[in-house]
Amino acid sequence: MITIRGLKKEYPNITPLRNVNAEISKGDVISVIGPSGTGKSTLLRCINRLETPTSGDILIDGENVCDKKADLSRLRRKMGMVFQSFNLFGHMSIIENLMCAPMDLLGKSKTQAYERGMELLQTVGLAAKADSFPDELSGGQKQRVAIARALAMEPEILLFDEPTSALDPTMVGEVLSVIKRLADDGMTMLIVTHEMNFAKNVSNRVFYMDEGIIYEDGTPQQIFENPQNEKTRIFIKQLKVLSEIINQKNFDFPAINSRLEVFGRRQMMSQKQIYRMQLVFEEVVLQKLIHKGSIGEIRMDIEHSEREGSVNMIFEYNGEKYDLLGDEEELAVITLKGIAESIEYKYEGKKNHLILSI
Amino acid sequence: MKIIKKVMCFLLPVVVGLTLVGCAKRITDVSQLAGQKIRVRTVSALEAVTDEFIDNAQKEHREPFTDTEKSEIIDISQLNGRSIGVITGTVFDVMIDDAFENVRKEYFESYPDLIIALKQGKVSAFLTDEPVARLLCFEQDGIRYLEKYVSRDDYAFMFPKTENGAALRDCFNEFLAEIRANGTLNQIEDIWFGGGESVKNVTYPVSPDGAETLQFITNSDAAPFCYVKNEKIVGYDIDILCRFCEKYGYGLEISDAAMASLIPALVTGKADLAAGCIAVTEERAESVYFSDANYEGGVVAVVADENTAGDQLGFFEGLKESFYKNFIKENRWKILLSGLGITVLISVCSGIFGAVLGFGVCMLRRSQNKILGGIAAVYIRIMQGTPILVFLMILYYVIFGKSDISPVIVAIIGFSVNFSAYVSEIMRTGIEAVDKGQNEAALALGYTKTQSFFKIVFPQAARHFLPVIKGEFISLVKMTSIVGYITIQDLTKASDIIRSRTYEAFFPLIVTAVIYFVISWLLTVALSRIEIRLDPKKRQGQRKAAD
Repeated sequence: MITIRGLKKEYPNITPLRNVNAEISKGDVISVIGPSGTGKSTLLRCINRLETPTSGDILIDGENVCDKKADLSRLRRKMGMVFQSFNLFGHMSIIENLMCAPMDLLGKSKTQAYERGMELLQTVGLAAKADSFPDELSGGQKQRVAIARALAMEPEILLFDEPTSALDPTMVGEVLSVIKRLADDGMTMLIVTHEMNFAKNVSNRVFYMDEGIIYEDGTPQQIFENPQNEKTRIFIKQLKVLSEIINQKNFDFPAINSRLEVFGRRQMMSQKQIYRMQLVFEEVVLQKLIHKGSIGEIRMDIEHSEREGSVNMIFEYNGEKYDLLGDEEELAVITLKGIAESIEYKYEGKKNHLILSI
Repeated sequence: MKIIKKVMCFLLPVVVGLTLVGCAKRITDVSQLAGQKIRVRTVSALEAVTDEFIDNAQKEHREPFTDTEKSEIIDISQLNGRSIGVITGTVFDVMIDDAFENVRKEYFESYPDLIIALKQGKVSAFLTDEPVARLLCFEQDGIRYLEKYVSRDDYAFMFPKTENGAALRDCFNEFLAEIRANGTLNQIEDIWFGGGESVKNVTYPVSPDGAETLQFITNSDAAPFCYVKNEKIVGYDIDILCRFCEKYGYGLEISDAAMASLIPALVTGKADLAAGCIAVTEERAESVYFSDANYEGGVVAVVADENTAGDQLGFFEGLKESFYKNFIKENRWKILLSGLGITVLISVCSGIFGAVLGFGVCMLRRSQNKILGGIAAVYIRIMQGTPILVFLMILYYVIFGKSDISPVIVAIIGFSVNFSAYVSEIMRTGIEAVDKGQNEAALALGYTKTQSFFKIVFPQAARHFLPVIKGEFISLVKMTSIVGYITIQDLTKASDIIRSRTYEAFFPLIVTAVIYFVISWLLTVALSRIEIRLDPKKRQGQRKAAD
């Protein structure tokens, strides 16, 4: 239904879309997730040409939107758009908001437009507000009206640009349930969202966008439970990462120790957790690896998942296979085993990997 | 009681204040007469103004204005070192420098203003031509003129310095010589410089079809040479001119302008000839041709006369008399009425055309094309930076100088252009105040850019900018009061004409102010209705109220 090929959008000092390729079929409910500033909204706005792509093609039912001669108004009628900031027409009542475009553009009679409008308001639960004005409605109500307004044009696909980001947390639910109902009815939708649970439960596909491309495209199960890419995993788990590289024997131990503390504080870890982290660092690097000598470069990554409250410490070092936990009698090993919930060791690609969860 | 009227006219606010004080004072005075106390309290504030009190008030308030010497002026030499009033653009300006030493000149636009200033002591004297002075002093109490001429002068008609102008002048000179020889000129003088109002009349020439029409320009506040009577411009000069046209088969079209505009009108070809008590000077002769003198006279000084006793009229009788004189006599209200029509015509047309033009300029200003946007920006800058009066005069005397276009149309063009510059900027601000998302939402629904602008953006912008434009329009209405400069008889000019006949400031000015207020108010109401129509909530509110 929609084919995106080599889409690129460049601004003078930023390139939000580098090379986007995607295929959207009828009935797809696609959630677009990813860190802010990675072109999710730009992608949506390029699809209905509110932004003009720098290069690339977007085919809608075979017609290229990027063609200069494209009849944009007609193509846009196939795509309903729901904005983060609702954008209801302030000078019209709610029902007029729903009636104006079908009457002006689809040639519907006033009665037809009114009846369809009221029907749609009924489905979003706002029939009682038909004669109100946008500024008399709450954010959640406005967004539901905006969805109804988009539906009034009988579009083939609905594009949602962060539909709940401007809403009070208490109003997010009402909007999401309307979108879920549409998904259940088989509406084709492309939803840019930060609501991970919603993306997981409602969509059949998820686009993870980063670095100006669709970094990972898969079912919610794939993306959320078994992300293929490191970046995706960090984003999905909402990990915060600290990396340190130690490459000489006389490294600045107190400096790294204090960076660990700062990182821990910033991540709102408990003092106990920070202490444990520092202890693991000291035991592994100072007591074992440096002590052994001729290890070369040691890389330490600390990942903190806010959601799960877990801290993973990953050590990566060169050299021949060396499992430092081998000597079970040693004090350092006993200490480490006491602190860590789990310890994993593997030797891969001529590198030692040690993962401790605390 | 004449004094009351005068003071009321010129010092109304002060006197009303003082009147109340005086009233209180009087009540204290009579409080000894216990029996009458109650009666006195019921006397209205105005009736309580006694003669002595007014005299006191007058003395108190004349002092700041009076010149150094209090002695009565009997000779022109006494005027040295004082302030003398002069009408802008008249020959007296130069004459004062020659005839007096160390005087301060105060510039005025018309005789009524001068006379009022003289009576109030703001100037010690003003110079004018003897026949004018004679008539002024005949009609006005409280002024007199000094018999001795300040200078002798000849008065003549002016013609443009072109071939046609010279031909017309020669023809006119021939005519003048003829009527001087057969005594007609003396008869005309007797009619206009005498007191009999009933014989002072002119018959405008009826030109045969296809005859050339002379464009004549004059300043109508130079009675008896040239003034407005029964909504018609009449006078000594006009009488001669009409007879000339009649004899030579010319049609005649008279326009009325400020003294300072006469020569420019001739130079730019707006008029074929000009007159109205114009003295022959070398300076003027450099720009125009003069005919032979049609009147030889002199310039005299008019001074205030404190000894003349006016007819003793009561306060209300005085007001009644004044009202009659200003509005009823010679159907003067009709001048106001037609002036009002012109003012409304110019305001409404300029308002409509200006708004339409302003919208166009606004569109250009917002256009993607940098050149068009730049042109619009420059246009706006220039229009906002040019005083409307100067712009109007440039339009009339320079741009349309050679064309035969009605001054009313010039005024409408001028005000439309000026108004459009302001409207376009106000509209632009209003349009930019509409959230971008509104346009995007409309585009996303499938509206074209144009549809989205007119259907979604503009109506919302209108709600922002209409109240501002309303204010701007009201100020436009008031600004039209300057069109008198390009010979249009609008409301302000109408009141000037009345003042130039009655030499009273109170009624013509107050009534004019009230009329302007009423026009502005009515137009505000009309615009507010449009505003309500554009505001869906108010509209709905009204609908609900109606149900």
